[in-house]
Amino acid sequence: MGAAPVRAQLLAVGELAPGRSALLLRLPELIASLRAGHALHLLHAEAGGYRLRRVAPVTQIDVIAGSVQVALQPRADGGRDSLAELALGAQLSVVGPIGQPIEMDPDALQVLIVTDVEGFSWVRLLATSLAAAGRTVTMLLESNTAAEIPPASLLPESVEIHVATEDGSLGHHGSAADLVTTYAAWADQVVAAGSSELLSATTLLLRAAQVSDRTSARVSRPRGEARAAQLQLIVAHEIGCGSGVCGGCTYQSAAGSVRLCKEGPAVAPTGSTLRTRGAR
Amino acid sequence: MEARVGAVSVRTDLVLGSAHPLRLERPIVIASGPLGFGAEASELIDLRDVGLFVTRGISLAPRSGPSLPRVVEVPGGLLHAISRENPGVDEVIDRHASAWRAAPCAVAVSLVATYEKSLAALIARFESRADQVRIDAYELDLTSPSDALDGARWESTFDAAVRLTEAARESTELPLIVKVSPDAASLRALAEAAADAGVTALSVSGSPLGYLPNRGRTRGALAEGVGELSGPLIRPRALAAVVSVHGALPIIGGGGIGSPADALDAFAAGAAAVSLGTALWADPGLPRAVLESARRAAAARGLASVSELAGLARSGANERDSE
Repeated sequence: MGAAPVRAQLLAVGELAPGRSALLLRLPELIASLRAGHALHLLHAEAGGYRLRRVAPVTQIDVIAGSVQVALQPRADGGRDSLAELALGAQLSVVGPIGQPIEMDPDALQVLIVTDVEGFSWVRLLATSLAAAGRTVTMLLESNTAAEIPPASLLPESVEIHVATEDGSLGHHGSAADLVTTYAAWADQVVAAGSSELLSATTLLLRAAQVSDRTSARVSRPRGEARAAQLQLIVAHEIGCGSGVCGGCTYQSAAGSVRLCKEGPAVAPTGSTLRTRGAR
Repeated sequence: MEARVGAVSVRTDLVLGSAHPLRLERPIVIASGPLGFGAEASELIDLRDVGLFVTRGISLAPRSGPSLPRVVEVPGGLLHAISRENPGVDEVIDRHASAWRAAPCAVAVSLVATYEKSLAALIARFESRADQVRIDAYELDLTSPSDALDGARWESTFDAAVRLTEAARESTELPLIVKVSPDAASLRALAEAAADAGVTALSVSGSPLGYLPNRGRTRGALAEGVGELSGPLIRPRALAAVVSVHGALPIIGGGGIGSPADALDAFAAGAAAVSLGTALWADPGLPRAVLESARRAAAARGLASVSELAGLARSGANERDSE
């Protein structure tokens, strides 16, 4: 629907983290249009009994090979996505790009990314792209336990990673949000992706540290203005029409309704209460 | 409308109801919800393959929706909670009336009312703007929540559902479709009451309720908690609902139709027209495939019209019963 589907060949099935599947697709038709923040809609006629267009964030792009890696989001019922069971060489129907690229302030040389295992797939390409562009990137990465953390090899060596685990098995014992205030003064721009708890906590702490909400992705800081980092949230969505009409991914931001499949996934934080996953 | 299948000519048009009839060129209905209010629909599917487009639910005043997640996949389908979010009747008309006028199929607006009074006011609002709006029918959504019932669906209480249906019927002379789900209380009696009230057709395409905890089992998978189910997992229940109301009034059958074969099942169970929903996201060509399949099925049986497919399985059952 909307943009015409193109064919993609499944080259490999891997994992971004334990239980978090990723597909490597040969997708030369779309590769030039993909940026950090984009997702694809994937469909395979024989994968499962119900033909749904699943939202898969783009996690890696190899322009020379013509390949794109996308992450499959875990199903609500805990089951494995049937797309991860496909044989190599399978042909998928792909629509994209879904959403808008994450636009970064050109003056933001030091970028803080706050994420968890769920949000990692939405910001991996961003971290890689920023590092390749010579910006300094620090990632605060939260997980329940050390065993669930994505391997550091998925990111460039220049990206500084600080881990927080809920059970204290690695790094900081607690939430990644606990570490946010340490970097608030350092960062020119902050991007947060993950659970509603993480997004809420990050927003509250950064506001306390006087980091401004980034209400428009296109507005850059006027020259000469005192340094104040801007915060953007990346809100995940899973399934829908991909055309902005079904209402399945509508997010209420401070600036009004955002259709994540069209205007998202980057949004400005809402007022005092984040209206995302389970935050009501 | 007539089309040839090989040497056989098969009609696809049909008329639903008699007191307030609705003529459709094709027995294919786009369910309320998946394709929006209208302006975008023709970019997503070919409406020339469709008999009736039903808008997303529209209320008198704007309604906000729940938090994310609003849609999650469950085994065999989807669990969703959009809660009839819409910008209110006036904004919908302003933005979509031109698309309704241009549509190559009939258009029904889906009415969402939390009180009987607001329903009458909503219909009056549409009719007060009749010079700008082309509406061929109303769909009264009895699966929408009622403030009069503390948020429960209208269809959950027989008396409330009948009262709202009668209120809608008294408010307009246009064809009126009443939408229910397999969860509706006393469904057969409700269908008969709707027929008595002069309802044009019963759309048995509403989503039954569902619930699933999140992965950590700390809350619902949907932020709203309870949601509505779509997809193949509801199809047998939807077909049972069609069977249970067959004969009371014309039926639009839907719920989990994802292929032409599924649509033929709905016709066979008693549906005069079939309603397509979330399957369109993956298969925008489904209306045409269903239409062609229905024509072939009718031709293979020597029928002059696709509408004669309705209830074939039921009549077969009756024949067996009488043997």
